[in-house]
This record gives sequence, structure tokens and C-alpha cells, in this order.
Amino acid sequence: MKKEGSKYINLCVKSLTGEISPVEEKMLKNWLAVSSNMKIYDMIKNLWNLTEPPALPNMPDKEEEWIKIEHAIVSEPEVKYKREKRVFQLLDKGIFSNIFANRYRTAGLAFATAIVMIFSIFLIRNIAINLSFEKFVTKNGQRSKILLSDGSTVQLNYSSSIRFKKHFNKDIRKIELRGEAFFTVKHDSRPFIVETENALTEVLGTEFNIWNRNNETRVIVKSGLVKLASENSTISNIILKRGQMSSITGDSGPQKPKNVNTNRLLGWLEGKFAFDHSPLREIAEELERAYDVSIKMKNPELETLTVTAVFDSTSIDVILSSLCLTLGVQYKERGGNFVIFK
Amino acid sequence: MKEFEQYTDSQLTQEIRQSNKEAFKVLYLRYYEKIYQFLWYKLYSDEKVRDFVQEVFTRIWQKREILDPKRSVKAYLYKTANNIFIDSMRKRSSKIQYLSELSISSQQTGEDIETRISIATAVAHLPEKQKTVFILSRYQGLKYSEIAEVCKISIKTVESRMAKALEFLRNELK
Repeated sequence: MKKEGSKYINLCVKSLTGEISPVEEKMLKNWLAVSSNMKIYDMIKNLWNLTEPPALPNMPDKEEEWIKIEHAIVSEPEVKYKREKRVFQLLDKGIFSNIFANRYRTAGLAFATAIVMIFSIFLIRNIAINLSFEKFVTKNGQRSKILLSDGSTVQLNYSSSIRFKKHFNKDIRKIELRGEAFFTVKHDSRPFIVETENALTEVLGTEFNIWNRNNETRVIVKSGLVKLASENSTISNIILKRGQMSSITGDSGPQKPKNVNTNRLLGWLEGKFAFDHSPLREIAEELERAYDVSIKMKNPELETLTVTAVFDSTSIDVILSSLCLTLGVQYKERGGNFVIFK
Repeated sequence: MKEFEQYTDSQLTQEIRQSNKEAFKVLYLRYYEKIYQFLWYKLYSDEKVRDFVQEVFTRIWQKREILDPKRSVKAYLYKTANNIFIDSMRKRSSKIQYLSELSISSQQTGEDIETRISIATAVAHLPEKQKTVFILSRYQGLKYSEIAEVCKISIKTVESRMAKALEFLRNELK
């Protein structure tokens, strides 16, 4: 079945690139008569449209680049010209080499000034490049996976964001996180530090999850070792190892490590929801972020009811039904707005 | 030099074989951006692309005597670029990939950016062989026959890699 399916996917793609032959086109048309196949075609067409080539950052000036390669391939350089060229090749600025070559024996001062100018332009440009930050944001209902320049990956959950320098420093890798993300950190001589609202989490190479909402940060370690400290005082810190979790609320120090079932709690990576003695208010907020809806509680005492459960994220209705059944409450909906009541 | 701009690729190749620098410059300017783009999409970073592009054209010039005007110099350029990329991958001890440097204009907001970032990241995650084929087809607009020549594979293999690439993307973006 799989081989057959792949053959038709190939035809779908060919029809999109315009390379499909008349014979193949007929085959495709017949296959598309089945509506479930049409769905597949639409999905591929959608993917195709979405994969518009991304915009490139500034490309170098090809005329300037040509001048550099021209030096390399010129077979018989004129002797007089050669001497000037060598000096300017050191500085590697194509435009200027032409100007100076013509003005043989310019005043020494003008020469020196030009060099200083050129150097500062390069310096500023390099500093600007090194200071530039990259930011990734997910909205409600959206998750994302990001690859970092050191080979580490970050899986971003709903309504979260990360921010970091495009090129990590030589001695440290630092990322700012708001929301929730799972990090798989490549082992490197540099420490990897995640800064949330109120905490700093440091690792060398490991897998861990960080949740930061409402001025509370929770860290769960899947493998490796992680050091967690409050943003304010890094003196009181704790080391978490595999299968442990700790949290920092507001300005407090980290709580004592607690052993948890990481497979269950990290269910979000597979599209599941996992709650461990979580208050209903928090569950409602997670669901709001995942489904982009609003969930309110009519009776305020409902907010502090706690639930321990794992849900496969099928539909919000299924999840709310089982939740309410468990708690002995009810819910009603009006156009994306849910209300839970006794 | 103006006259050479009107030349076809094949005519330029003929001239370059005879060490005509003007003709080579025209070829360089004609394909510089395409080759740069291709390598950039493969590497997903500025870092080495510039040097690699220079290397591509330098090699073409150094081996100009064996250029064949009857064959596609476009494919030959891409093939050289791909080889340089593969060689550089072998030399690295760990295959480090780079984060996409998508230029996002500050005026844009909303869902568009996040979706585009996810998609570009998904493409960046493609297994190398599928990625090369996908980039050459979707981004560079090459025909399957040209891709086959660039990657030194059969057209059937191109088709199968494209299908696998689409499947992979579909799973990444679910």
C-alpha cells in the first residue's frame, strides 16, 4: 500500500511542477476520482504552495565578487599593476582597489584615512551582525520545532516564544524563553543557559522541559543534569537529574527536586495533554492555548480543583466532557467560548 | 563585453574553453545569484556560501578546457556546487546545521511569519539527499532531467526522492 501511495504522490508533485506526461496525467485523473485521494492531492498542493522559497538575506554584490575572482584567474598580470593589487588584496575591498590603482602615488594621509574608514565600516558591520537577535513565536494552536546554530533543537509549545543571538558567543549559549519548550541540547564546551521570567536554567548537554507562565518556572529533566537557579540570587540553586522536576515561583528559591514520570508529563511533545495534580484553572489555560478558545468557570471554587490525567488531544469537546465527568461538573459552549459550572 | 551578454550558454561555453575571460565574466554574472541561492538553501546560513560560490566558478575556469558546449553548463555549475557542498560536509566532524536566517521585515506580523518559519525549518530538516532534490526543483526551478544530471542519479530516483520529501514535510508540519 505504501509503495502504491508513493507512486501517486510522485504524480501529484509532477503535475504541480508541470513535468507530468499525458499518460501519467490520465492515471492521475482516474486516481483522483476517489474523494479521499483528492484530499491527498489538495494537501500536497497546499504544501507546495506553502513552500515558497524563503527570502534570502543580503546577497553579496556580484560585480564586487567578480573582481575578487578575476584576480585569481588572470593569466598574465601587468607588472606595475600587480604591486598595487597585492596591498589591496590584503584589505580585500574590490571597489577601492580600482580607484587607487589609477591614482598612483596618492598623498599618504588620504591613504591612511581611507584605510581607517574602511576598517571602521567593517568593524561596525561585524558588530552589528554579532549583536543581531533571532526571535521565534508561536500563537494559540501552534507549535514549532527550531534548530539552533550549535545543533541543539527547541520544540516550542503553544503560545510561547524564544529569543537568542543569531550566533552564540564563544563561551556561552543563551536563550530567553517565555511559555513552554523542550530542549535537546548538543554537548559542547559552552554551557547552555535558558532565561525565563524568574529563573536561570543551565545545562551542558541534555534533554529537558521548561514551563514558564504567570511568573512561575518549572523544569523537568528527561536526561542529563540541569542546574536551576532563581534569577535574583543564583547562590541558592539546585541540580536536577533525570526524572526530576522542580519549580520556582516569583522570587523564591527552587523547590526541592521531586521525582516524576517524564513520559507522562512530556506528553505535549506527542500532542497529548498531561496534568499532575494541576488546578483546573491551569488546565483551562493550557486548553485555551492549544485550541485558541476561551474557557471560564462560573463558580470560582472550581478553579482550585485538582486533576491528574492524560488526554490525547482529539477534540476540545471530548477533553472537556471527560474532565467534567471526572469532577462531577458540566460545561456549555457558545461559539468558541466555554463555561464550566456545577 | 556587451556582445557576450546576448550569447547562449552554449556559445559562452565555447568561448570560455578558449580562455575568453569576458565570456566567463558574463557566465559568472548570469549564474552567480542562482548558485548562491542554491548553496544558501542547502547550508541555511551565510557563513561559507560566499567562499563556496567563488570556489564553484574558480573550478569551472580551471577545468575550462574540458567544458562541452553540447552539454548544459547550468547543470554543470549546480553539480560542481553540490559536490563542493558534499565535500565540505564530509570534512566536518559533526554535521552542524544552521538556523534559517529568514529576513523578516519588521512591518509584517501575524500568522504568516510563524507558518513560514515552521515550513522553512521543516525543509531545513529534510534528509540531505531529499533536500537537494527538493531545493533544486521547488526553489531553483530545475527540471527532473536536469536534477538527475546534477545529482548523478536516474530520473526515477529524482521522482522517488521528491515523493519522500513531500511525505516528510507533511509529517513535520502536521
